[in-house]
Amino acid sequence: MAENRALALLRRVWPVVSLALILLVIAIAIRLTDDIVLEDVYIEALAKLVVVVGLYIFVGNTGVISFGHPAFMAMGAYATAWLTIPPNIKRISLPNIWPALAEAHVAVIPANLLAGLPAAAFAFLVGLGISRLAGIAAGISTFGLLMIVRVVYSNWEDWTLGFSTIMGQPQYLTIWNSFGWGIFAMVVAFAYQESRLGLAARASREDEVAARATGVNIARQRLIAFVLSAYLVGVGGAIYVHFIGTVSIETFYVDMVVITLVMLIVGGINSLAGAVLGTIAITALIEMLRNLEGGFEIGATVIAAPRGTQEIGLAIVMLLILIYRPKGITGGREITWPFAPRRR
Amino acid sequence: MTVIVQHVSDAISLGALYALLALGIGLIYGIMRLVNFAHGDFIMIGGYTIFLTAEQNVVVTIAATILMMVALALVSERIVFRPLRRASPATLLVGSVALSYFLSNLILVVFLGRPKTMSFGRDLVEHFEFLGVRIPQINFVVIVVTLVLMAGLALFLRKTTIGTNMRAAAEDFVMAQLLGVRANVVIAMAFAVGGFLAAIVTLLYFSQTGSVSPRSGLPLVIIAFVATVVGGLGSLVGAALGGFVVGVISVVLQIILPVDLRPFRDAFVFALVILMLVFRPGGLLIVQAMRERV
Amino acid sequence: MKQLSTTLAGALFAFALGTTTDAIADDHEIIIGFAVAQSGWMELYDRHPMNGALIAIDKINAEGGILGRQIKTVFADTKSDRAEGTKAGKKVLRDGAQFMVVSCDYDMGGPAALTAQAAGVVAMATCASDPKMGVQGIGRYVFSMALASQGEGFILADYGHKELNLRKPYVLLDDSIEYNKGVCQGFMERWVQITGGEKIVGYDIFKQDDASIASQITRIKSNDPAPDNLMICSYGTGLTSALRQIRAAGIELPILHGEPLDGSWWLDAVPNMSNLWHTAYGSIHDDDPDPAHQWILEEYRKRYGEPESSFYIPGYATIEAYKIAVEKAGSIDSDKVLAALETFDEVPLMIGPSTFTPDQHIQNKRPMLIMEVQGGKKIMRGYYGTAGEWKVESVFSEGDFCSKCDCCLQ
Repeated sequence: MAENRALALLRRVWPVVSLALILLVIAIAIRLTDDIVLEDVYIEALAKLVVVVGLYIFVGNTGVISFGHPAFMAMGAYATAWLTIPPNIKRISLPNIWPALAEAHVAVIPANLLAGLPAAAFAFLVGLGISRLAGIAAGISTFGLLMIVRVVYSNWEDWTLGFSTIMGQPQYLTIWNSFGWGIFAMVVAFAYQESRLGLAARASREDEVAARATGVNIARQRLIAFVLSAYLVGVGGAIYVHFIGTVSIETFYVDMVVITLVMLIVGGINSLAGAVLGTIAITALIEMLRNLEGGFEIGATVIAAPRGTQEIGLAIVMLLILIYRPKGITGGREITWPFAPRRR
Repeated sequence: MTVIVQHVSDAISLGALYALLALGIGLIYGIMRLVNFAHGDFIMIGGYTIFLTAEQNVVVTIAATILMMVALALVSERIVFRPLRRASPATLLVGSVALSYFLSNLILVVFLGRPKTMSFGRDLVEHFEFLGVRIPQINFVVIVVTLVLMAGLALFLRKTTIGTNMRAAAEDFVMAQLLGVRANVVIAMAFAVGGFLAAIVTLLYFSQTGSVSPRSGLPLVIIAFVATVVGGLGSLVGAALGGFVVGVISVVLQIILPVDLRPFRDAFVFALVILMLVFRPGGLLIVQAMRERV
Repeated sequence: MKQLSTTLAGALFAFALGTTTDAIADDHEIIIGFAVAQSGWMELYDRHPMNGALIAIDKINAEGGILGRQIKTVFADTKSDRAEGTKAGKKVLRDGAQFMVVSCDYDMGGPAALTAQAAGVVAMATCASDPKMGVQGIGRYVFSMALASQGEGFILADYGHKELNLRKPYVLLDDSIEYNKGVCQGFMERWVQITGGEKIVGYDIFKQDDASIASQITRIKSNDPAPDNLMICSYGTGLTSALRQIRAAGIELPILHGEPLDGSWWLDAVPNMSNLWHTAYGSIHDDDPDPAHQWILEEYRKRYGEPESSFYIPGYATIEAYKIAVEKAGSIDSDKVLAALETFDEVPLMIGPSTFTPDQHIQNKRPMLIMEVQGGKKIMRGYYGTAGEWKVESVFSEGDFCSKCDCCLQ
């Protein structure tokens, strides 16, 4: 009986456990090669994974597209810089910041968790308006958000150094703790999508009229998803800059919009598995194209693809997926328990 | 006084340029619900066309630019947007983002990053006297060309068969198809006209700036995006009006903001846009056909 | 499920492809790693410095190497992206780099320089003009071969005031990148110094992406008192577009500008440009007074074709500086090389006399070449240094001088 219950539980959480296992296998495989560059590729992929899973919480569950999530990344990135840079460095690099923050020196993990809060608060404020919009208007106004955050942060010299780069936050990421962050993101997203809130949001995505008829307040569901998503993306942005080691507003612009959307869409917009596997698949694809650009040897001749092959290849893959497999490589499904007989 | 006249002419001219820009995007949206993010990259590629033909006669340059951009619009319709025609507006938009990423990186590979400069249209930037104020000819040209094109477009849409078909398709695509409007023809035509409008913007814009780089398209498409939303998606007049309003607002803000706040100019513009969307989600001009149907 | 496993296999395959064999230097070699942009928009700023550095490396190798060791090179492309910069830094370190050359820009080169700093390997940016590319910013293993942007503003202020007898400057700043801000700040700071407290008569900003700067032009025209010159700080298409619109508006005032105008690439945008002075590292028009600069120009043409700018000079000087430091240290050990670099006192490099101290890893007063533009032609006006001395510490102590134009007449 107890065994059955444990099995039932495992079956229930299998979509996230299976993804974690996949990530773990890749992590171990990479550790075995003992290549620091490959490790970095994977650490960056895991940091982006947090962002893409965060993006999925809103886009995947509500069906509303967003071009503005890099704005939340930026907010998280700067927040973690304010919290984690040692006070003696801050006195030099950010002399005019709030005195309370100037003396702050928070450990990295709590700092990263806190760093999502400004993004969530901002998402709540603007979400009050944006969640009432539908379709394309919502998409474009999220783009407006990105522009606003960009302009404000790039001119808020005392806190952000403008267009310049802030340095000094610890580069603490290893393959294992970034794996931990990946798990954290997936658990948050999975818990949300399995909850009543997540179900209501997905109902509104599938059929607005029917959802409304069953008493779902669509604007409210979208707002909740938007805030949670912004929080996780903020945390992801914080982790991402701990990887790079520098914070600059230029990191969070159109290229970031493109790459995160490619990851989500290629994987499959409607499932957590899509967000995770899309991130991994696109990272692998980019690495492959990069290695082509760097040149490889066949016998005595070195063949190299022209510089820029990576970006162009990425765009073509995205278009092909949109045209031929619009639901992404996962088809919008989660990974289900493979052993038990299907009841449906 | 002369300063004010000068500022007004600056504002109207920028507004007119943005209106043309938004018109190109609005036209396509009306017919196939595509907000074309690659519109700016079309213009950027037009800039390189001008650069490549700069040695030639002006007429050759203009013809080459128009041909190039109409062809580019038609080819991207055929290869990218036709297979996506049944997709949602959001997917279409994502597709156009991918196309934009493709085009700008392709140009970067071919021409590298250094801006290319051209002497094309420099005579247009000279000034003439008007009411005691020196006004750049380009301001005047932009305003006149915009008015002529808008009138021409209105005539085209009302008086020609293909134009009427396009309007019918914009009103209700399925119904129009049932009544015998050929979808492929209408959509291709819309792209051709959109490409033509983009070519005109290209010629005017690069006369003004004289240089093009692979990143030239992005700021333009952002403006056009904002403009079409402000004006009301799906309305041609609305798009033009939106472009005009955005242009005027950014000039006005540049003038009235104190120097400390001036760097934040664009943040004010975008904040106005979001407020506008929230309080009047349909835009300045609301089009009945554009209500998202359930 | 089948698709998932295919994806996974693909991912593993790709990761496996990424692994290459490490190249570790033996006693007869020195490995210099280039973590610079070989693609993307930054490539255009990194190409010439990298080629200049490669010319230096080949010359040194032909002459017997450094301490008898031949220089070997390894490369990693930052793709004009910060995260890729981190990976590029790690990649050249993995491939055994004992000295790292990073991008010509603090913001873009920073991530790679950080990896060198963390590994205790000396890194030098070819031409990053932000003093944060150094001991006060990234750390003590990091240097820049450039003159700080503020120092460039100093040169332009001195030249404008003393050589051109300009008295009423109007500052027009494109505030889209830090380099522009640094040059304009340096200019204003120095202007106030040399005039004994006179102010700038006008100040305005525009954006790189502005389609039209008509309202800024109208403001220049109606400024009271009328300016007698324009100090512009910008780059790229925004700059050429601004110059074209300013001249077309009938403003014929003398214009001062920094090194982004180096080369001839922009002259078509403003036909018959006159009355403009800008700084450069050297001349690519066969009239450089320095024979070494003429030599490298010809060498460059032979190997890479006609250069678009003289940025190969800082690239060459970067390798030159490393060679001198290693020979002085008698070792390639990073800490010893670092210590040797910090004793540089007006060492005559190809780029000019260069000084590094434990507190200053960038130049603050090295002369630059002044180029004058008249009738669309460039005229070489010789190397010019400022009499003033810009203090690197000033960026890190009292905040930015004149940042909101508190030294302007308004």
